[in-house]
Amino acid sequence: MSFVSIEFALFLIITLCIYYVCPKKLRSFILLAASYYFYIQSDLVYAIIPFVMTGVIYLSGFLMEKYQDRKKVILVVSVVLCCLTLVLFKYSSFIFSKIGMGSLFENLILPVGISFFTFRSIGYLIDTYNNPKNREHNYISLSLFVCFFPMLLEGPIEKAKSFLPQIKEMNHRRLFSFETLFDGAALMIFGYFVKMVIADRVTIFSDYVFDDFYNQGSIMLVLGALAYSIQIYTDFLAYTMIALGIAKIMGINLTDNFNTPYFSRSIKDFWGRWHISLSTWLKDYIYIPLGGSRKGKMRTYVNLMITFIISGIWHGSGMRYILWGLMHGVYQVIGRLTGPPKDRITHKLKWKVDSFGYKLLQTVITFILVTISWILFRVQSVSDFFRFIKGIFERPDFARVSEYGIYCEGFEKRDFWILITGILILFIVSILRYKKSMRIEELLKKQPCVFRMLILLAFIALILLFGEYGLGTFTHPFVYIQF
Amino acid sequence: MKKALLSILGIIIFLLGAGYLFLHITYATRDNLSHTGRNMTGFYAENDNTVDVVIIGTSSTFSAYAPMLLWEEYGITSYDLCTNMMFEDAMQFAIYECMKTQSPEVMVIDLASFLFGCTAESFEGNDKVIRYNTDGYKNSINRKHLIDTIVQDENERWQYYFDLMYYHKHGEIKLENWNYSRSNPNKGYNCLVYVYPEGDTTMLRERDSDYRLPDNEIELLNELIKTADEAGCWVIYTIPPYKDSEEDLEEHDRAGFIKKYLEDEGKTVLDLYEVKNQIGIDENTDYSSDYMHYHIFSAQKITRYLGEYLKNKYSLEDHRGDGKYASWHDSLQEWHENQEDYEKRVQKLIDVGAYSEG
Repeated sequence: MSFVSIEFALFLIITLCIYYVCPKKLRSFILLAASYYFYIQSDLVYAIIPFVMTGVIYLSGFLMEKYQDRKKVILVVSVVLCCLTLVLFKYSSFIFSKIGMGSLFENLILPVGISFFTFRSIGYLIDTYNNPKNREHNYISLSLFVCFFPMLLEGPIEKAKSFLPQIKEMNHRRLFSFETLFDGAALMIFGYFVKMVIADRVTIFSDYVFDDFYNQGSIMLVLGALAYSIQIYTDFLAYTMIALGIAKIMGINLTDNFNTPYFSRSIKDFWGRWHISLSTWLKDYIYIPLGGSRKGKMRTYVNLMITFIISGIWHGSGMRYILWGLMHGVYQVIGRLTGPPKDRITHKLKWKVDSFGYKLLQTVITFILVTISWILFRVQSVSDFFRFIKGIFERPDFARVSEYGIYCEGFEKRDFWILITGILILFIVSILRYKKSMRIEELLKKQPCVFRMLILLAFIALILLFGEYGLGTFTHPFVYIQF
Repeated sequence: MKKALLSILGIIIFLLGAGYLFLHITYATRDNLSHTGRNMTGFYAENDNTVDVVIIGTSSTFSAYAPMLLWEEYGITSYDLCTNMMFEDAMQFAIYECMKTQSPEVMVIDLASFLFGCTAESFEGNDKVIRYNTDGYKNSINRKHLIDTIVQDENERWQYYFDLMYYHKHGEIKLENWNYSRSNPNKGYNCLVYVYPEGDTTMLRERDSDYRLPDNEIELLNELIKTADEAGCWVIYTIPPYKDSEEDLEEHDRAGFIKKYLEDEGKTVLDLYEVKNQIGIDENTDYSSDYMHYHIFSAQKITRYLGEYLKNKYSLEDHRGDGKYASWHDSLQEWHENQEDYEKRVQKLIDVGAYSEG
């Protein structure tokens, strides 16, 4: 069930109504039932996976608390079990295809959200290992942590210590207030605006370029890469905002996954702003346990490479994901290696590193590096990636573009201008976020009630008028669902 | 308590605002309705209880009756409340829609749809034609009932209830349609700028007295009669003046059956086919896109015939000079310009013997 569907709207309204009117004690049960119903709509058979995984981590937690002297063994066994589940469904086809046995697993479908709830589960296991007294005793709460429906498909990869206390609190306090409802609604409406007006529209263009990139010229390839960069960000941002909004209406605060990532001035900065819950997870459970930056420069670089290769593998099976991880690892290592000489040069040349021009240059370079890496997510293989890059330098198409334009079926001049306007609105909101460190609902909260309502109604109008939905329109699934 | 009430009030206001936007953005994006949309927005723009004669029917009807001519020459206010391809099943809903804002003295129900068996069943799955019938109306319970009646597949109905799903992506945004109420200087009349080729003009044979309308259509006719009776005004059923030809028209027999059926029920039937000579229809040049549609010259003849009929039989009040109807007078100039334009274009087609301008 997609967030962008009538079915989901009805499901959400019914769930919220039941949730608000039911006795407090039943709230987590209601949410769990709704979450499993939501999952079953996507995949009836595979709903067993989060169910079993919850059982495994619950039992492991129990055993770690009871047999603290053997908790390491319990942790290893349970983490391996979780990882094996992920490997079986996500990587077995790829791995066995390398030894000519890929057909054995070709019928396996990737269960939606498996990467997200597996990492959440592993995070819980490690936290429990570190402090067994923190284990969750309530099975329903733990189940909800694994598969709470707003974060089931695309995260965030919430941590148990921030999520579970909220579930406990939820069963005791008054939930409904105009403020939480408004905040949640503001996040959701803005999320739908980003998804339906920007992401789904830019997808038409990026699909057009990437699906036939062999025949596209330089300008179109560059624009296609740029479009995909916008698509993957806006699509994931939209999902996150909708998820955060839904959870907020239910009185639960989820971790924000984004903090204006395309304003980053370095790749290191980027990873502090993009998919924050994943980077935090990788930092806490991979990078730091490996030694982080405490064991010398060389070891730091190795740790960075390992962490980013794991990040690449997490995103998908295939060499292109590994290469993507490698690229980001190399970006980071080069960034660290060139840091001191770069500082000396800028000092010698008396460049003002705090000037707008210098910051803009850093931001543009970072954006270009990130955009190049995203191409790997969109093409079908590593060789396609290199062909794509080669095409940019080999096939000039200025004359063709100036004669025929960049438009394609479903992406006409009108769509182009709607897209530009949408991006401009997102840009303004992002600038405000960057400068004031406040999300849209926090910004709106400072305004008079009537103004807030008018802004939200304006966004609703923009969605109704310019959103990609309805008959004859293909609603594109969220990009990160495939991961 | 006060805070809670204010919160609830805020939510209600917000939801009402969102509903208002949804409704009016739907109206502003409705497009691709051919003549239907403009006809209906014009009808909604008429002041309440100011239309004396409402003429209900299909495209044949809105090409035959020119309300502004009735106003100019008889002082009668009338409106063509018509949609393209109006289904037999949909006619009763047009009556309900009419009665929401108008209380006409006379209702003219043109039976062209019944002559060519234009039922929802015969157009099942034809999205465009269904939308001609449904999407001209403002959103209301009546529109919902209409959709429920003519769209057989329950799973398909939602896309008609929420027609924004259909129009928003490709339709033009017309802010002038925001309220779905926009004065129509032609009062629902649409000139079809075509001249049907002369062809054969042999008088049709006698109508087959043994012909019987299919049972489902008789049922629809009964429902229409019942609804029209409930309107509480004079009702005239009209049979349009279709073209003679050697071709064996089933419409001819249908007309015979319907006329007899209605007369047996004690209804007033105006069979314009039988009085074609009195109307002055020229068999060679007076038909438009087909044998049952008309252009400006034939519309003028048919309208004047109706005007005389209404004047003689119902003694409707002449509103010319009445300040309450000043807007009708104000529309005359635009109507004259339109009429002149239609006449020139159609005359040109007649002169060169062409079917259409294209």
